[in-house]
Amino acid sequence: MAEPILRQLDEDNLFDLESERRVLSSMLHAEDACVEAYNTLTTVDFYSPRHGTIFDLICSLFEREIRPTFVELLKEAHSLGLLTNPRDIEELKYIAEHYIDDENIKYWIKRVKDKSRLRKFEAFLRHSFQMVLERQDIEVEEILLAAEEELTNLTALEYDDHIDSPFDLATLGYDEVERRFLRFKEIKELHKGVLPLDGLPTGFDTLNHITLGYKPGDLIILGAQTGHGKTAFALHTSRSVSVDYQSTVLYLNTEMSRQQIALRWGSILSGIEHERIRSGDINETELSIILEGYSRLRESGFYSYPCPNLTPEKTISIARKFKAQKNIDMMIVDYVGRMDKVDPKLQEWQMLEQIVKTLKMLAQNLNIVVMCLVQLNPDGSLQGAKRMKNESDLMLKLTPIPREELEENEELKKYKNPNYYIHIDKNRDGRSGVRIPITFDLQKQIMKDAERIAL
Amino acid sequence: MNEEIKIRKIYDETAAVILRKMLNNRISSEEMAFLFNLLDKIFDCTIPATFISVVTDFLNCELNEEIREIIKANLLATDLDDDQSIKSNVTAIRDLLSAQGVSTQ
Repeated sequence: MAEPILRQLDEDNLFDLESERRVLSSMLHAEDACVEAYNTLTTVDFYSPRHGTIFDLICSLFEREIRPTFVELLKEAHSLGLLTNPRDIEELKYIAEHYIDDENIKYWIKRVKDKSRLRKFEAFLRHSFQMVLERQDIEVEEILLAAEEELTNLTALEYDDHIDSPFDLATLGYDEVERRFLRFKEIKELHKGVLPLDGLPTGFDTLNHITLGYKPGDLIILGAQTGHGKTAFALHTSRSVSVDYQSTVLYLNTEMSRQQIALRWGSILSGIEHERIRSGDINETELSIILEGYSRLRESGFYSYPCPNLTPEKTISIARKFKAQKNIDMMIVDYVGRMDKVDPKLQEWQMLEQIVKTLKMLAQNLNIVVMCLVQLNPDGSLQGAKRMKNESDLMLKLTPIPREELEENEELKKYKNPNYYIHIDKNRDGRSGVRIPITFDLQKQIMKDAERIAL
Repeated sequence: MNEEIKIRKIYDETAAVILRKMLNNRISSEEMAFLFNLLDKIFDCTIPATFISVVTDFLNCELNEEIREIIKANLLATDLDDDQSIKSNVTAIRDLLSAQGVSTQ
């Protein structure tokens, strides 16, 4: 009796070729559509095997940073021997002509995804029905539990990704302990007591020691007042991660031009005063030192994206694109206070809170480190939204050390030229409430741990 | 139909014609690759007008088979991403056409 019903479902409801064509066509015409579909759909979400193949081809071009135009798609398909008769070309051309406005892409992707889930549901129904038909000695409790588990996988789990079974969690726990045990042994034997990092280097030995590095999935907030080193900190971190450690960083800057960013690097990598580089007041030896610095930048994993009108949506899109194409390990947003409002009705603190939540979600979904720079009030509090701190895994503040403290604090006298503090305001994975004295050379845009004076 | 959609349709149809011709053995893989590149460059407006004009002159004139093949080989050897390659091949093709009494622009 159920069979005709299932047959009817099969014919009428289980696929939507029109939506599939529109998604593929949009991927051919707009990069944003490509980013969205690449991150949301998989080949099996397409009912038509030919559409699935075309999706694979477009994704493969996109990953290699080749703009997936119709011609590139034809070339790619041909080189792989996938287009063998004129009907294939007609089908492709038909798809290319199903163009839609970029804004509608999410709607069409959802339709493709929904049909894909519906097909899985239909397979579940068939499978359950078959089981009831074939197994006479059926254990009702057992079959209902199995069905419930399968159905749960089709609904919540598809979006929440993963629930750990006891086995998963025990395995994960053992692996972690074993890793730490081996690391501890390594520290004792190889590194002579110095802790190796768990994540990306911070650029400061003391901060490395306390945090064990910036870890994938972490959101780091760095606050400083205007003109007190936010961008210098961001570029110092970038240098440490992308030049010295050779990992990949995407740097989004809402304030500076390409030229300004490039010139700052000249100073950071050469140790020559920024002002002199800007004015060209350098000698030939210094010029060659600067050139040598740029050759290190050329070989690094630093990607810069100056973007004066950055929105949370755009940030998501750029991060996903760079994750797919460059496999970034870290993204730095410099700085959130200058990001555009999406909803003009939102208060500033609401908007900042929303941006920071988005960045935390991105860090977790893409498994990358996200650092965002925020503005501090003169009293050291967070400008805009104190609740941003709740979202962060590590909250740092960069503040100048007051002259009186430099004169009176005996502890600071043990250091050579400390002039700034890095405060660890929040640290989900370790000690917080710590102040690290550093030396910040504003002219050379260089930061380092304040050196201890040998006794 | 708005202008943008019209242009895109022409692009899609031209690309499909090129591939169809290759599948029907009317052109070689090398010729297809060249035509695809040329099509992209034309639609991106990144090909010099002199190159388009010399191709148009070549297509609109009567030539003997040998000269036609030589000019075609010149076209296929042109690296469309390299201005110098385009310039030298345009000059060579113009010379060949002039030698055949074809007036070029």
